[in-house]
Amino acid sequence: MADEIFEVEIKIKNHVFEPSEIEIPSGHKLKLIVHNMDETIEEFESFDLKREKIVPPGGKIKIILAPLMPGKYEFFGEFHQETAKGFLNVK
Amino acid sequence: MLKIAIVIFREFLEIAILLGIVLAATKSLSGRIQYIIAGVLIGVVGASVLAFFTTQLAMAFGGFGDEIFDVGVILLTVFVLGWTAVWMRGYSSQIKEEVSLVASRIAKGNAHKVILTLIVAGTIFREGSEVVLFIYSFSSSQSLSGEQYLLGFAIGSLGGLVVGSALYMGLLKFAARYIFKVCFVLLILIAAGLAAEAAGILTSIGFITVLTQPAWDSSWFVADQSIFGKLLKILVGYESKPNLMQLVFYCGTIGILCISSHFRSRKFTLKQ
Repeated sequence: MADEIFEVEIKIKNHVFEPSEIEIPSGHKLKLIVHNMDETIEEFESFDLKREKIVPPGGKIKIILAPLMPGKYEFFGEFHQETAKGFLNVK
Repeated sequence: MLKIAIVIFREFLEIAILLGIVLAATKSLSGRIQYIIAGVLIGVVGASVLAFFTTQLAMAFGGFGDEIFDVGVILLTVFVLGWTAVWMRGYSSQIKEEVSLVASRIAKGNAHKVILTLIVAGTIFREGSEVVLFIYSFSSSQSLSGEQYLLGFAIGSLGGLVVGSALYMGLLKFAARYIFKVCFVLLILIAAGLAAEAAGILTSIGFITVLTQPAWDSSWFVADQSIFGKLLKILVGYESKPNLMQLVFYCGTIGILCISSHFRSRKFTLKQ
């Protein structure tokens, strides 16, 4: 069912993504909800997903993605790249 | 402090490189300084305003507000960069004419200078709002002293300025003979890269659903995050995993701009 939206919640805490590895079935539209629990701003960025979005301190953003093909899609926090790393594993 | 400097530098790099090339390309345009300053002011004000409306913007257009907005600003930049490249082409074909004649023709219209204002403003606008948000958040969280944070900002922006000026002077000094050709090629590649970026966003949000298959994966060779990858991205629109639609946008932009400049330089040759 391609129209079904698969929802994933991700938290940013101490500049680390939780969870940082997310398994997702292929063929679904995706909604990533990213919560920023830190007091500093972050930018959710991914070259693989071709998206970037500012996440204000204490705020949340939604990222809607067209169905992805199986594979690994890395993402990171642009302002804390050393620690804020994760990936979607689409199966 | 160093962290702020790095983030600011990274954000300013794109602004610096693009402006360095555009300014070198339009060196011969007299009285352009006011138009550049106007562009800087509009860009800075626009970026600050945008920063404060980010949340509201994100909610617009069914949650796609900022993506649609990004695509709009990117495509506008592609258009003005393309315009500049095509305009330069016509001008460079006349370079053999007497300089005064060429100058008088250029002085006739202000359109090119307004375009220059648009390029400067658009570029600062696109990257600048992130800088504003970043600084605002850092200063409000008070994890650093004001001094450290100012120093970080100063070092980062100075670094960007150095790269931009080096590129500008380097182009004028070492490519003086071929300045039009070099800038023409660079502007077209930058425009094509931006068009591909817009295509990437449009396929990612599902507005375009055809040709979304990845064309290749060269991340083993040049990673997107590396400094080299970042430079290549700004200059030629490099992405390690582009999809087919991005290639269509990339090649389409190059094709359209080359054809338009061909006709423009031919028109000028016929006039003489």
